[in-house]
Amino acid sequence: MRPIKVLVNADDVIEVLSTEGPLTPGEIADRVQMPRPSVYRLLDGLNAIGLTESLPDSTARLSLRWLHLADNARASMREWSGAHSVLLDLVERTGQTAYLSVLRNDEAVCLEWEQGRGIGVLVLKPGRSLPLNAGAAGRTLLAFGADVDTFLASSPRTRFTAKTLTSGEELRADVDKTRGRGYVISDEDVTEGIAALGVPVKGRAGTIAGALSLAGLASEIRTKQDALVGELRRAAEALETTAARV
Amino acid sequence: MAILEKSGAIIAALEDIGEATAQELADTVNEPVSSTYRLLASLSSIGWVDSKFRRGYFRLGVRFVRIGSRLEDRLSVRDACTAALVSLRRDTGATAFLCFRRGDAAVCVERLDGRDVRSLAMRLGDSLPLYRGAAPLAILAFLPEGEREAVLERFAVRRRDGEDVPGDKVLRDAIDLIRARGYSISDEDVTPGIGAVGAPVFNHRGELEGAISVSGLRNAIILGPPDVATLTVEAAADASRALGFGEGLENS
Repeated sequence: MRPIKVLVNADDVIEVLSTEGPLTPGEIADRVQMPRPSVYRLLDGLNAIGLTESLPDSTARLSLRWLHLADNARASMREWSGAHSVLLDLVERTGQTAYLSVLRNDEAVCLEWEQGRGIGVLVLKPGRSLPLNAGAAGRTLLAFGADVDTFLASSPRTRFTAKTLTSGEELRADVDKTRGRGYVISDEDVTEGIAALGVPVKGRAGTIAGALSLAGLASEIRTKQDALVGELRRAAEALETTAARV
Repeated sequence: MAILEKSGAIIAALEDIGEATAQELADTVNEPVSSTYRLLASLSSIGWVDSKFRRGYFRLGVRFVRIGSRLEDRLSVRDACTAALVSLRRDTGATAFLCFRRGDAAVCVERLDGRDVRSLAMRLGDSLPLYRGAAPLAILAFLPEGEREAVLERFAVRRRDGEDVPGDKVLRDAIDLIRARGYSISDEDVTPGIGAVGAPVFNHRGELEGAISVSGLRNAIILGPPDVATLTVEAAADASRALGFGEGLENS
């Protein structure tokens, strides 16, 4: 079944307002390739349900209600209600930045994080995402959670650094290696100088609920790799136990 | 736009109750279950609702987390406070400040000079300990209790080491008064002849972001007119609203 057209269009308008900030209806019409009268009608509808608002200078913007909707959406994911304390403990024990991410469409979306002691690695934070071809979170979810063929067939692969894996061949080999070893080593494939390690978090009936990862200075991650993987596995088990109780 | 209206009602219902069945949502929007299913399927496909976790139950989708965080990234506390600082200076003629907490001090990140006097204290980038000055005291008073107690403990150590920190009782009484009134007063405690009023700024989660203050000649600030305390509290409330504070609270 095809999604209702109005909703797809509404989501396109929300997307462009979220990435570009306030825009005039004319600018929105250009960006989303829609006739201007349709944009006006959509904005009226979105204003009426409190998702956008029109400003005196005739631009439209997202309403601040999105901040609360985001918090409510996260709070309603009760399977992760224990995540914050698990991440806090992980940072306490390792000093690195810790993330919990979930698979949505073809991205790894971060739900929770806790910044490390020395540096916070900012490329990922709650609400931000990584493509499945890069980073510990992305590649963990590619290897354990996603349909690799579908991803390779239909999704764009972003290049961040010279070390980012982008070809189908490289990514298939990486998926095999990751499955064999049980965790991902992301070595400067998103940010130069930064490395990360990721493990899957199991959900019900053998599904993968998310990815737990730690990121920090590449030199530190490399020398402490075994200990960090041990910490990640212990934390993933703690998350699985809480999620199973929900 | 009936579709958007119904989608809005479903979002509002999920925002309110967290998780619901198609039947419950159909009742909310006064639609047959079958057409509600079709709507929910569409909302799922664009990521606005999620039904993967518990069979038969719907909740808000991760899309809201994505969009909300982009909006949060765009909001700058400084930008959100600018309009409030401009009107505060206009209405009082005095100097308006925005301060953020840094450790046990407050640092000045914005300053709009007033008409009458130019105080040399608290230029951009300057800081004051949280026990001295209107904005620092407003920040101290509205810190979460645990953090506030930790700051007070460190102040006790600094007092023992000979720093001129007001007594613990004096600080605690000041904090109680500031919390009760909603604003702080600095009566010549930073610069002789200069008085100031400060009030806290909060974000959409109700977390303290900083404080707005206004400073000028002592009598003009403390005795007025105008009523500088009320103007400062209103300016800080406007700035908080611009950051989403109070927005949508009727739903939570």
